[in-house]
Amino acid sequence: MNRALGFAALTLTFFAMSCSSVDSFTDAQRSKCNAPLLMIVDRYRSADVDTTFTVSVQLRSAPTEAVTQQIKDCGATISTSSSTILFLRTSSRSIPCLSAIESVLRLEHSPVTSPAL
Amino acid sequence: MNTSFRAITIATIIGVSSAFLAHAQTHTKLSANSLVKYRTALQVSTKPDGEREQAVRALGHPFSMDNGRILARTLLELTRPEDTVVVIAKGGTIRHRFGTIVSATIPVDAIDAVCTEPRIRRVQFASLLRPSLNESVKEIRADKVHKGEGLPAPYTGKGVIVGVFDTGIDITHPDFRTESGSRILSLWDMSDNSGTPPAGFSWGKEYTKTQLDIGASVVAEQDLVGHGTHVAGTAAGNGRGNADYVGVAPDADLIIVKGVRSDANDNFSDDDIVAGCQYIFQRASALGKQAVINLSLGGIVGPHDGSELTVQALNALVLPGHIIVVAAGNEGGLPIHAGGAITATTSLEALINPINVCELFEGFCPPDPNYYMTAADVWYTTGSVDTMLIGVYTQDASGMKLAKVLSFPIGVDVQDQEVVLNDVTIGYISAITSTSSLPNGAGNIFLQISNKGKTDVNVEDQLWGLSFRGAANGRVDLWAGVPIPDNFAIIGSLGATIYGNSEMTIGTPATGVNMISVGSYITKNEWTSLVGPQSEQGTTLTALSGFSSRGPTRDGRMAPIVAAPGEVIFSAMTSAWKPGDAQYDSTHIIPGGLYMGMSGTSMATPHVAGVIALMMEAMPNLTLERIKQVFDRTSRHDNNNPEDNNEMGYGKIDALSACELVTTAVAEVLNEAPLHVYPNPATERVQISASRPYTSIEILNTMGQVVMSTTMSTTGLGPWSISTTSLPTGRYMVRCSSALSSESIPLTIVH
Repeated sequence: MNRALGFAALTLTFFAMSCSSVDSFTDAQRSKCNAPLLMIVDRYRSADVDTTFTVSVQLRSAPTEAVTQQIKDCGATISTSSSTILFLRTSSRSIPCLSAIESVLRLEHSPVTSPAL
Repeated sequence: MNTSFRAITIATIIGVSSAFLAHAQTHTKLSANSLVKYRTALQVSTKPDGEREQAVRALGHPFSMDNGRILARTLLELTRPEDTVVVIAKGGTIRHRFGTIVSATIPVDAIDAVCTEPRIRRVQFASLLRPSLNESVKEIRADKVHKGEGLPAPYTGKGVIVGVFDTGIDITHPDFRTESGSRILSLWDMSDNSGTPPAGFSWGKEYTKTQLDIGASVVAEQDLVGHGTHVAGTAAGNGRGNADYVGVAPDADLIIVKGVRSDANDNFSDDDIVAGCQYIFQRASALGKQAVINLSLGGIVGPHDGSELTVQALNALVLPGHIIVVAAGNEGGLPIHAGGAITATTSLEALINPINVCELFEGFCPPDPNYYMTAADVWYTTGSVDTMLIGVYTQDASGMKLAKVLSFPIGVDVQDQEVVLNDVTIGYISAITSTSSLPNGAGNIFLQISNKGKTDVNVEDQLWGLSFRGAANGRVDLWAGVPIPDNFAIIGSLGATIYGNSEMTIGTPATGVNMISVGSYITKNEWTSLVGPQSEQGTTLTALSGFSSRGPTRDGRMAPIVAAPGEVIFSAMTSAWKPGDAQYDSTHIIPGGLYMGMSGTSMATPHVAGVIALMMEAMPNLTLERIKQVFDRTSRHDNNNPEDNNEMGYGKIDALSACELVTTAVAEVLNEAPLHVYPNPATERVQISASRPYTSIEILNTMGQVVMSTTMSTTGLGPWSISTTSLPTGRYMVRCSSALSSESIPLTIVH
């Protein structure tokens, strides 16, 4: 039990470090993101303000409690889940952190959908 | 042959006939349906005076009372037009004349006398037909499905849930209520966080059936946009407000999701669309019902092949009895797509007329009214492009000329790179040129050209050329502001010019492999509004709507799947709009104020959702594949769509043919049955063949009784030829059996 807690603490520390700055957004992390999402991250990287939007996340497998916690620790809120696909409400500065989660295979942002009138 | 069943049938017929022997002439001139009505009315006529009026009221159409006599509305066929005098002589009143056919009101006690008159050929009691949602419900022959014409039973969507994820609904509209309360089983209002969300979800407010039955005093939800109310009315309105506007599945139950998070915003978020569909299917499953969800929505950005995570999440929700129908989109009239083949030695160039697309890209433009941005979303075969060039074209007296070229190697992303021409900043370029392997095996370039909110930077003052240098054989497709269409006759300098067209404008999530996408065609262009007659100029009835988005998908699938009426459709109007409001368009509102006209693939989609509800009632748990196959076999082609194509898909939806197919021969037609019968319908003989060995054949009637049976001398696959002359016209099942298995298939016999 103590060992598990210790591992969790280490894990959290690792993610806290990886989330500390968008400058740590590596090529490997960027490659998990679709182009519109990267555009937003880049746009707000040096801005004084941030933006909140929806991101869809594909996981390697159905989310475990640990993965869910990692996502929350990045500052994201899970809105909806559908098997291995989650939908998060998050900000641009959380994306490097989210993309650093090992279980995350892909992150996508889709532009807005409107009534087809 | 089962002789005991035959005996029962004959006895029944004799029993029924003998009751009417005294009215032999009446028999021959009244249809069976009218005969039943007549018999009922005769029974009522014997009631005491005090009870008769109430009893007649209970009979309803076509009966009424006048001075103690029961009157019936009838249609009569006369020998000659002037034979109306005979009708009048018998106490009838002529209402309308159509040559030798007249509409007349006749006292019920004079029907016998009318029927015995030789100059009157036929007598028929008037039917109360359910008028349809203007022309469109008739156009798709859903009205005939409601009446059960040629079907085992009438189908109106009873027991099936139509789910609508949209801008909300006007719960007070009479078309969504019955005498006993609301037709909406539950409603999730995502824009209101003041109450309890549905179980398993963390936002919005859920209203129960009990609350919806009470109505607006306890339900705060409103449809301020009007779109969702209109869509729901088309799919499932019951026409209680005006029978002319009955929807496609008028007895279906409704589950509604108001999918906007704020009334100030009429756009939808991906997570809400997925959550809304999950909610509808979960509620339907809990109620033990099937559901078809209507998504009259879409977006234009993305790979156009359905590979996005959002679309995959929606695909995963589709199961037998859980179907999603999606609007194709309304970009069919816009040349927003350009594309073509590329090789290692060629380049392609699209010239972009830079329109401001900030509205289409959530989060990309800051909340700055001066911000101006045009964009392009480019998808190409991985490895086929190594460099993107951006050319700046200016115009002077000598014509268009290439003034500047910038080079962007694939794999190097740029952020707000300033573009200066003649010492003047003309824009800032941001480009993501991903080289990673995407799930769909494609490369993607996402490009934005903005003014960064600076009013002295005019992105829109020049043409921008997007050129792609080939590295290998492949294909490039881009969706942009507005690529220059070829009728401008402008040729770029940085490669073979690819011009704007409306191909592949099918929206997302309509691109999903498990979605049924719907295009639009025109069924109405004239109507009478609150302010008099109106017309839509330049449209041709039955033609594809100019706005209807086209396929194929980028991975080459036909899209849309099917077409339905979407221009101009009159359906339920939200009561949230009042005279004087900006949305209150008197030219599109029908007198009475309950219905209004709208156009779009949004309006076509609920026609198809309603038809699927009818099909589901007729044949539960249809799979997506079966539904698509039925549409393939039954949708109509005409001069506007002579064959399957990327404008109307399999064709114009035909509710009656679709329901006929699912109720009579779905297994055979879909090539899934181990049994085949031919011809079907049969007259004198039917040939039966099997894909498994059987030893006996039985024919059963609709009561499940065996009316014919044959045992083969040896086990085999057939074909076996059986005489059907001894069986009356009707519907049957053919059952083949062996010691190991048994299979059945429907058979219709017509003499």
